[in-house]
Amino acid sequence: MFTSVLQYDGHANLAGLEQAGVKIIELYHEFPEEFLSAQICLTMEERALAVMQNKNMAVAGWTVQLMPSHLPAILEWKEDWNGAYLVLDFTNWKDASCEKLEKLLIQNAEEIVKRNLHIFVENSCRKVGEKFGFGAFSEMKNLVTVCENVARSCALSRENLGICFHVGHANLLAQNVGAEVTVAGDWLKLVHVQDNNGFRDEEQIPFTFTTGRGMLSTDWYGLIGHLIMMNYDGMLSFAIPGAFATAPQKLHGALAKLLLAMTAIWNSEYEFEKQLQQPGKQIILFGAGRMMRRYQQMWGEKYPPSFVVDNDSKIWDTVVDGIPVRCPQAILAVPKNERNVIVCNMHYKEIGGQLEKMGVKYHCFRDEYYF
Amino acid sequence: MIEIGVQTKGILPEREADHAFKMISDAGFSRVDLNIDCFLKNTDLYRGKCNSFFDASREELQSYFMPYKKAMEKYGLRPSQMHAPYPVRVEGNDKQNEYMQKCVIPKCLALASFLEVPWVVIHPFKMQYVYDKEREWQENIAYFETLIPLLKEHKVGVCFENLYESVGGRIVEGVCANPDDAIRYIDTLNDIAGEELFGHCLDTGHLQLVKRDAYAFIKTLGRRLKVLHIHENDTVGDLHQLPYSFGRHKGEGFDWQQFCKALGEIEFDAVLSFETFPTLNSFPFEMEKDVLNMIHAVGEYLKSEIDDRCPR
Repeated sequence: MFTSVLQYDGHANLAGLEQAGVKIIELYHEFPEEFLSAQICLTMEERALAVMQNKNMAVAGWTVQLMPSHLPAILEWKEDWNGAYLVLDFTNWKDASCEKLEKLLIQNAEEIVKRNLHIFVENSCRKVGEKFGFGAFSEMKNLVTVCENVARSCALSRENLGICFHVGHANLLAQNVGAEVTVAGDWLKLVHVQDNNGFRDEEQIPFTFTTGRGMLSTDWYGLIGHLIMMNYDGMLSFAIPGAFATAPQKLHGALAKLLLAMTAIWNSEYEFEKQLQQPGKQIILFGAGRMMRRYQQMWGEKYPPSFVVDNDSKIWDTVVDGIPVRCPQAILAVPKNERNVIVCNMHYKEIGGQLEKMGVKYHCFRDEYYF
Repeated sequence: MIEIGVQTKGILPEREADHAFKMISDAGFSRVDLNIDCFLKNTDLYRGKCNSFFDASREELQSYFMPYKKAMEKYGLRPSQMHAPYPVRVEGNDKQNEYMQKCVIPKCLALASFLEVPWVVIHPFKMQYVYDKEREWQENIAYFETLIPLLKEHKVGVCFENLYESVGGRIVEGVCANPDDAIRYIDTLNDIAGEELFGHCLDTGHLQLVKRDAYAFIKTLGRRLKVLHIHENDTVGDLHQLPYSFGRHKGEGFDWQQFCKALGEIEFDAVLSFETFPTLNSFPFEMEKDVLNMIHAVGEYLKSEIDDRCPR
């Protein structure tokens, strides 16, 4: 299952977020090169205190945009991090390399372990003027290699070392976000969720950017589908400073509610298989077309349908792909407590309305997460 | 008193009217923008494919939309505007144009009266890049003048919307994109009519695309501003997304503060109507209620900002 986290960079309306039901916060800091240790500690302390005033919220971790020289000071800020995570964003590290990152982590491994902290390395872009390009840490395969090399060489292991996948950065580099998280595999410990149009780093809420109307600029369905298929059981941190900066403070609570609802929808997709696991019930599909075939591909062997219904009367009383096709009214011949109706058609609203009129409950198979 | 409304596109006609209007009402909206253009799509009209929906008689259309009327009444919703099918004129398709202008639009006006819609948004003809602005003006005035008796009969008004066109794949200003042009159309036709039957529909997204300033546009229009189409985009495509969805830093994106300031100063007292069906379509469909709630929350915020700036 996914757990939603909201990133706080000092600008969001914390009271509004709390009222909206946000329980878990991630704190964000940017430390320019010239920042001194004392400034780092003060900044982190102030922001943490601001969150602690909200009794219903807990801090799960931190993300810092830093230079390598800042890491010791950051680690020293807390004696015991109580298992919190620290995401290292090295966007501004100009002469970065995987070898240098490995060396940095190994050098600080003892402190990390001693202070009970989880360290996540994050994919980043290289920025040249207004353009984005690939850098040392842009590809998951390189970050996986870093983690494996570090784990072989010091006290850090899969227990306290991992990768944070930043969707926005990957989108700016036109990467296949679903494929990238699969490459990260078990090293994936956190996902930073945000949207952009692939050109400007706007750091907005998911589903905001489209090309034309309704064609998503970011492959959200592909990303979530891949996370589900790899059984990613972790946090999705909504890192949306752009949304909190452009929207008035009074709307931050409403934004947070939208994000919590989004996580709930993704979790219901995560649990889709549970809808199919209902002993004593017949699985009845609605829609005998392409989506039915995709259902069969994914679930047909484990959860075979009894029959499929379709609004196309020309195919009633025939067999499609080995499944008998009947008219929609045939659902009513099955006792209510024995039906498990699954819509396999993109016209969810219309078919949903049709089923509701018939008094039939249903769930939807969403193939866009997987195909 | 300012009210908050939303368009029905994206919600109807996919659903039963009762379910759809309940959803809209549950989200807190009190007004609706009825998208009759869903029944004769612009994409089909541009391709010369005209369906037979409006071949129905006025009585048949009333019967078809009776569930809408009943559902709106049931859930305490009132229409603030209706969007007629468009385009009303396609270059080179005289037969379709005659059908649209002499059959579809008059039936829409009658339907508006039946559904108690005060304003119908009708896209004026787009002709300036094929001919010139003066010819566009003449043809539009000639046509819309013919609608005046119908408007009086049905007691509805027509709003012109600030439109854009595409030249070389690039978005450029279209008819009524310039507020002075919009005023010229409205005032001329109202003078001919002898009463206020024409007004303006301000589309915020279209303003962005042709780089117009919202404050200046609204102040110039004044009381001619009757209805709104509220949405935001990235200034490149007509994305119809939620306000405050674009930009990385405060002040980037559409200037909603100036928009509210201008509406307050002209004492705007109508409906903040959101034209955000692509927003609904962008999010997973299971989130429709949550997205509608968000849109309404934005509406409440804008309303409070306008009220704070109203001299009344």
